[in-house]
Amino acid sequence: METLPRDVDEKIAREITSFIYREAELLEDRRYIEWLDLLAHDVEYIVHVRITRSKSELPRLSEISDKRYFMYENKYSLEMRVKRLYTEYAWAEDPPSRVRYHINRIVVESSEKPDEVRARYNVFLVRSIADEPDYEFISYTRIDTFRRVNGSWKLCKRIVIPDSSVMTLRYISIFL
Amino acid sequence: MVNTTGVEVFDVIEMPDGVRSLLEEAEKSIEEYRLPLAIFSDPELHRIEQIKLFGRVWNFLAHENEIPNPGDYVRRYIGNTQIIVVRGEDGRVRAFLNICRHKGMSFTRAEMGNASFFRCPYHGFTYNNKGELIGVPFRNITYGEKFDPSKFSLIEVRVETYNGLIFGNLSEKTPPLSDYLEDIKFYLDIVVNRSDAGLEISHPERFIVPANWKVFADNFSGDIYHFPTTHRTLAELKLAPALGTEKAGEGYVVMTNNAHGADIRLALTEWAPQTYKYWWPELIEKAKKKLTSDQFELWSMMNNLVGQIFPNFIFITHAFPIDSRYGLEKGKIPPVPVINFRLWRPISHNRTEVWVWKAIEADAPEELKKLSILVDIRIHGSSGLVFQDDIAMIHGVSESALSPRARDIKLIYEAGMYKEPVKWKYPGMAYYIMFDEHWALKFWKTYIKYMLE
Repeated sequence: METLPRDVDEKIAREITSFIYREAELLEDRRYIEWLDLLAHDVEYIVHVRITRSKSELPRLSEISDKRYFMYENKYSLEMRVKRLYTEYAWAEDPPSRVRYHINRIVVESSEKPDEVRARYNVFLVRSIADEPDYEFISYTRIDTFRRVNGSWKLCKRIVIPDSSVMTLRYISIFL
Repeated sequence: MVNTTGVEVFDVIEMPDGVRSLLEEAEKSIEEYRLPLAIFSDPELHRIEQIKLFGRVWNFLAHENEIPNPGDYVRRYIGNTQIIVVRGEDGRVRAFLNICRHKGMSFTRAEMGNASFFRCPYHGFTYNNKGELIGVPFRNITYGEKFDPSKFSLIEVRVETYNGLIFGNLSEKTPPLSDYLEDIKFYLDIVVNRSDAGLEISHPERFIVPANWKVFADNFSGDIYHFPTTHRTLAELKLAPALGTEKAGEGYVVMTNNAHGADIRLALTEWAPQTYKYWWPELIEKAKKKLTSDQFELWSMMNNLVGQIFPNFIFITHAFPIDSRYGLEKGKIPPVPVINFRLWRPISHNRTEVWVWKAIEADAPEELKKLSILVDIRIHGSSGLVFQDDIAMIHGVSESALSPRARDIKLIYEAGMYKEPVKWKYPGMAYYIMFDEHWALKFWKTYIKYMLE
């Protein structure tokens, strides 16, 4: 029988919440090298494509595509993306866009594996590009899995599920 | 868009004076290798394009394997017109406007699904998946007995298929798809017709770019000149060093009828190798039989092929490293083969929806199928290392085009004009070294012709 996730101990919940906020701060400050350090060596980082289906089909069929992803990354490809951002020619991020992660409703719970915990929460991301007066927005949910490695937490899986079936960012040159 | 008298909306559309004078000016300036920047911005031009251009060209709608079973449908667009592409109970693919004949409700809201009938949620008019009106609620007390449902089938859109690719045409008067594609079929086959198994195609990735669709189309009409600058990171990351330098140009710009065309990059070095060898051995054998010897020969010589079916559908075949393990420690993971399709859907003069599909032969090894989606995302998707920098440029051009000065600023289309076409044994006409604007000029001439005729 599948065991239902349960709340984790308050201290762990606090550590995970603090991890999530610190991570957002690193990304907002574009400290990508330090950000990579927060990721486990076998990290999976997935941004799903949402499909609009009729209500009658939803019980049977997922509204999350298993055939296309906005991102499907491992540590190597994330390193490649970070490396790109440090070149002089990453035009999509020059000038760098300004990003804010508005994070809410964090639920930290146990995962299937005893040494891992999971966090589910919402993100409202606001991006400002150059001196354009209009912001870009994207609203999504994250399902993160964390593992303790040598005493500190590492992100070992991130699933991003956008609310919109059409991506509202003109390009994904940042990390969601 | 045909009415009962056989007169089409294209025949009666009134061309605003401002649009006509811009197009006529463009027609003249293109002879001198110049193009008014304003052609990327005018809102009135966008409105007329919907009718004169997208109303009469063959528009890519879907791949047959997106709707393999009877009743399967996808909701697609030609410009702002919603189209339901559905496989009927009889196995035939049809397309209908997503507009209820009764009061115009866009009756299907899902992006895809399976339905034996479509019931409009407004008043309940119900159509089968052949488009026939089969149900009118309370028909006798509403309309009386004389009401004839057979007169109110869904409005069918002309659909034709080429090697699995479904195209739709809003006009009844234009030549068939086969004539429209003509010589580009030779190049399209190399991408979509290597195996009898056909293609396995992904769901589309869709995203919105604040830009005019024609800047995308212009960029994909043979503009390789931007590679060494825009895509310099490919060299910096050692992913494809040749593509970030002047070597990127080593290949042929091929133009066929209707301003369809393809860039064909030759295999150069270990960094831009022949990519056919990254397809699996059985497929290569199949392709030898399925393709003509000319097609196979061309495929075997190339590093990649990027084609555009006029005016807004892209087809690509190549192989690319999936992550930094290749770039940092060369050779550890071989390039992964992939087929990519893209579509530029015009929403307004300054808003384009980009659609991206990945495909691979349906008989590909499972492991390769998994890897091919990864390479497609990382290169061609909205997070793609190549495409995101293109979009930055495409947005920038569109932004400039909004200036009132855009009308008298003339862009330069002179690259390669000193050259003669090469002797080319394959269909169409080709120029060597892809820093060349012959194809782009042809795109504009064809565009202007559609708009003015």
